[in-house]
Amino acid sequence: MNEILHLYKKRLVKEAVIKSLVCGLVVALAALAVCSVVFWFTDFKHVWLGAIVFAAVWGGALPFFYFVFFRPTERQTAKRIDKEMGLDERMVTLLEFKDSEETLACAQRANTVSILRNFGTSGVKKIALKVFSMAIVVTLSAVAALGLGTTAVSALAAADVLPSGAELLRGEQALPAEYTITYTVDGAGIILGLTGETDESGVVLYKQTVTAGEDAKVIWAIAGETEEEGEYFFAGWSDGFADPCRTDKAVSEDLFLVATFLPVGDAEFEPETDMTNELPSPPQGGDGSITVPKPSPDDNGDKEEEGGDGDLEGDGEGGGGSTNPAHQVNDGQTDYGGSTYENAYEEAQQEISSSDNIPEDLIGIIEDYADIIRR
Amino acid sequence: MVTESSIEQFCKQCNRIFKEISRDVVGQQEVVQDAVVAMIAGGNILLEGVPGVGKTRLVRSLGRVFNLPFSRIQFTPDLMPADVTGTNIIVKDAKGNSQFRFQPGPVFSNIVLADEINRATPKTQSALLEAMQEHTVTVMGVSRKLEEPFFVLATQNPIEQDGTYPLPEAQMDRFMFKVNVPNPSIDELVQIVDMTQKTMEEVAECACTKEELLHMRETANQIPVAAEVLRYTMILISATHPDGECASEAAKKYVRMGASPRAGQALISAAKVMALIKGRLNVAYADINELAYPVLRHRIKLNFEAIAERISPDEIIRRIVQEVSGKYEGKK
Repeated sequence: MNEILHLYKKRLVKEAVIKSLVCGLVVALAALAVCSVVFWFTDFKHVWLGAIVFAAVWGGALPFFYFVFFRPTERQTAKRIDKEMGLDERMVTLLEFKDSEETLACAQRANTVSILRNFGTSGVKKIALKVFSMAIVVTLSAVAALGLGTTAVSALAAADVLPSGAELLRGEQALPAEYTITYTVDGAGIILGLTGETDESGVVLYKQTVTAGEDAKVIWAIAGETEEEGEYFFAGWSDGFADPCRTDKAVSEDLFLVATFLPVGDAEFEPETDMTNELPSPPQGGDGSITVPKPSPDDNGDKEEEGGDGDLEGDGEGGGGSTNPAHQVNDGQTDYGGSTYENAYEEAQQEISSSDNIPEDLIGIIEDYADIIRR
Repeated sequence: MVTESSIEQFCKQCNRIFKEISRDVVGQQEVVQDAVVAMIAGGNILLEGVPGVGKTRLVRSLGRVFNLPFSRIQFTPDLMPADVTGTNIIVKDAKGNSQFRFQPGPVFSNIVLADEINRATPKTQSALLEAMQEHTVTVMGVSRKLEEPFFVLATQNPIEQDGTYPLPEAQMDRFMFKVNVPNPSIDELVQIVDMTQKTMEEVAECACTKEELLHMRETANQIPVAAEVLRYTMILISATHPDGECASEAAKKYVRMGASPRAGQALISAAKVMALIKGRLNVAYADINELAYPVLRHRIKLNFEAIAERISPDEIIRRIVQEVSGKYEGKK
């Protein structure tokens, strides 16, 4: 009887070992996940230690699960045989009365052993190994995904492919990149819309910081004058852009731009054709050059006609799109329509203050520009 | 003395008993089986069924098959306890002196058929209590032992309730089984009518003597019962109590009073016999589950909700068995 019982017990021991392995694997994967998370947060580079922890936990959990939970006892073996082989509690009864000398107990033992012998060794196979229940499959899958996923993240963070948890906590990677656009002038002129700072070599730099992918503020290149050369006009930007008003779109790198101003009546200016960003091409002549005419009385007449509408806002935009240097001459003699529109400045101020559609930075530029003209 | 040949003998005699009864009683295998199990286990049986389904014939056949003296008491409202137990009468001896002499009633037999037991008054019904439980009869302060084996096989009609006295719980509990005798099927009816057209004579012969029956009972009593099975039986009994430790949902909802410990004893005794009849030398859960119906159906008292919803005791037992076996399987 003991031999037969031993045969069946071996089968259940096999099942218990597999169950212990699976449960140990679940615990080991959970430990691996915890380790990986800790490694990731602490920016620990030796991720391979996770594998050692995994192996150690699995090795430790296997005997724990086997001896504490799954090791089949004789009674459990008997119950299992009864249930799986339809023996109607014969084995449980046999086990309980194995030492009884009662006639019927002995007969019951003989009857049960005879039935088991009839099954033979193939009868052992009738006991199906029940290892994977729905709960264990779901748990194993979840823990495997968690363990392997966190290990992969931890390993990638150790290889500096991904930010570590510590970096994320410090917020180093959380902030988007920012770029600086530096404007300066070559010749007599200023950049409106930004505050200039003079560097060590005496060059005035206008800087603005822009978040990656965002648009820069609108700035305006305004020509000035010197005692030696007299009035200057805006000749173009160092990147070839010819419009004095510019807004750099979708900034993705640091930029250094020079606004070139030339004395009025100077020779032809060849703008650079090397574009450093994708800005619309400035309106140019047929040969790609901008001819700077000297101011003349005719220009005054033209100016009167062009600015005849007296609309300062429209004038400003129109001026932004124009490359006629005569528009930028402040010689004290050119009539810009002041005689006709003496109250244009006040009217423009009112309109600006009453309008909701004009951006703040544009209002600033317009006010500065109008202030210069007024002065 | 129980020997290995006793087991063999038991099986042979059981087969003979069933074969002989089937000569008189057509169909009703389940009823016959329950009656035989109860008789071997030493329990009393309450047969319930409409008139004409063969209750009395079955009891008569059992008497013939077991070759036991058989007495029949037709219970009526005017039946007195002394009509059942017997009484002291005054007789004159040879010298002419008057003295009391006990005149035994029909209860002094091995098989007592209490026909339509619910027609007698509770006083008369209770005259059977002592005989059924202790197998003794006390008249005028003198107890007399009944001859073994002793069985009471009572019948009652479930439909006609006018002028009847429902059996009290104490008496109900003394019946090991309550067996519902169903109407025969069409084939069985054909066979019954065909058989009785030729002769009404009962042809069953003796298949088991009194001594053999007692030996069968002794054999069955020695069938080993595993502690697990015993515990399962007691949990099942406890589950019939609405406020018990293991009360089942069905009992909580539909039962006013659960089964007594006597039900547990009856269940185990009957299960031992059933196991042997099935050729098994140990009691299985299946035996307990199968016998739960005849053992428990008259021992659980339904509450108003069950009566209003027309839930039968068998349905409640089915639910209890299902619940308990499910829980017990889960624990195993």
